[in-house]
Amino acid sequence: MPKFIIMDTSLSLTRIKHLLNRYFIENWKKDLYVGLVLLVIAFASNPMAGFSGFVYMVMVLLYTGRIFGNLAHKESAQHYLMIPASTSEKLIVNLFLSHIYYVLLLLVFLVSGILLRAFILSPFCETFNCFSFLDAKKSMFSFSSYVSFLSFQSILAFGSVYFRKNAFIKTLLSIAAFFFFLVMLVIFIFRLNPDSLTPLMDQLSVIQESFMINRMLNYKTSFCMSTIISIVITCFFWILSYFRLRETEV
Amino acid sequence: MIEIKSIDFAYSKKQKLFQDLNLSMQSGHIYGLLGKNGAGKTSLLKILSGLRFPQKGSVEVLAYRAEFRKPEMLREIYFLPEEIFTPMLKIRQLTNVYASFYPNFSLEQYNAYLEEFDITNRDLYINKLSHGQKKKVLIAFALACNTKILLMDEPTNGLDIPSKSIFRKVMASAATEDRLVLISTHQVRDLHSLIDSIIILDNGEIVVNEPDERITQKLCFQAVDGDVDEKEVLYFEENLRGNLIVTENKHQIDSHLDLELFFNAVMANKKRIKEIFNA
Repeated sequence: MPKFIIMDTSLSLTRIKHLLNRYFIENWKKDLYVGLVLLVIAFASNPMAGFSGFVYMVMVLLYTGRIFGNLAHKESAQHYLMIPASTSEKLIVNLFLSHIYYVLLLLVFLVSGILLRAFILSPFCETFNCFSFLDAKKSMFSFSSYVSFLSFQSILAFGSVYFRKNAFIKTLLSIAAFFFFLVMLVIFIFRLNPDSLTPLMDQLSVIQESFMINRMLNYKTSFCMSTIISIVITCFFWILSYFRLRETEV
Repeated sequence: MIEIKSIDFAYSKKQKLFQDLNLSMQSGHIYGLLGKNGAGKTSLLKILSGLRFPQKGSVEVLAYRAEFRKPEMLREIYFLPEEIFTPMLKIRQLTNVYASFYPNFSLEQYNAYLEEFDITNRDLYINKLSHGQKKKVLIAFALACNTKILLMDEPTNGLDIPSKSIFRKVMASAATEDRLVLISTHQVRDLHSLIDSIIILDNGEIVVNEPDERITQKLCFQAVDGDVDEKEVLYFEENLRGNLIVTENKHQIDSHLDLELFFNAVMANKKRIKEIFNA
């Protein structure tokens, strides 16, 4: 037996099924209402403007940002942590819910709203293309953008297990603070010694140039790189979430 | 069944709640966990259920390390906290969602306990019930789970007078040889007839962990008229009928354990009582 157990390996499909069952029974109404709101927005807004697509993204992110919402209050956190399932099983269920279930569920309502609008408006406007939204937002549904979206989701999921209360806002603020700190650091270094950044900037422009050339020459390589980076970020934050959940005390 | 070995626990670095705490509990008992406010009763229950981690030492529950919260342990332990969480479910739905996590759950028992508590309409939403009603539903569920360990924090708080006696009745019927029940309470009179072993927690240490019989074997609880010999008395309380006293039971007198009196005696004369039990 290893002395230190880094990750518990207790995985049972039956318990995962029970956890999913629990989620659906407790939340189906809420999910339906949220979906209907999205359907109405998609129906009422102009698909070309992309407003409903933006609302869709925000809704999925909001959902993910509250994926460990049970931990927000002492009573519900105690209840959640005492459910007889391992940390990894709870994490897998939340991973499935945030990365697949919410994305698909809300997408169904979004597309339904767009189609409904198309069918109702088509007699009055023949040129209306019900799939124009999907065409216009093709990039939104591409694999690489989905993977980047997953990485952002994973950061929000980590935020929801880390911050507990007002996790979504706190996570966004933390991301903003991180980039602010990064920019301030660069400015500080530049102010301290204006010449110190010149070699770095030169190096960056060289990298950028070569990257652009590379990109033109080999689009696939850059696509693979960005996908791999997104997957690594996603995995990293879910692993962090696992440890945070395992160490959570109430 | 439960082994706590030399644990240290603190909420802040400055003040330790438990220091080198040891405790052992066996199945077939209903333990009463008593202590003053802030003594650490709820914290101890949380440590046992893996919701809090000790900074030092180990807590083994059914041979599992509590802090790992293994499903094999969690399915055999049910913790009913004082501040309960009620999911947005109907009373009958609770079993659809959570019963499957507990292998020994009995639907018949759940319904029978609900009947006992006079909860007949199973289509009510639990979160919309009164606090007492919520507690009754969760007590019924907790008992029907048939877990080997049942931890309850102030279970009678919020229950009306008839429900308290029903609680005692159902708890007595649910107590089995392979089950350990630990009830943390201030309402000693409510649970006096139920508890068969007493654990008293004070200043981060277990002052007493004894079965009822041993307490009455070592101490004598009496009501006396007139003056009392203060040298012999470990604790006394005046009441309308005279004095209630606790003395060392040197002459093997049969007396009835008065939990409140015993607790006050321990608080007033901790060192002496520890000596008596350790002798």
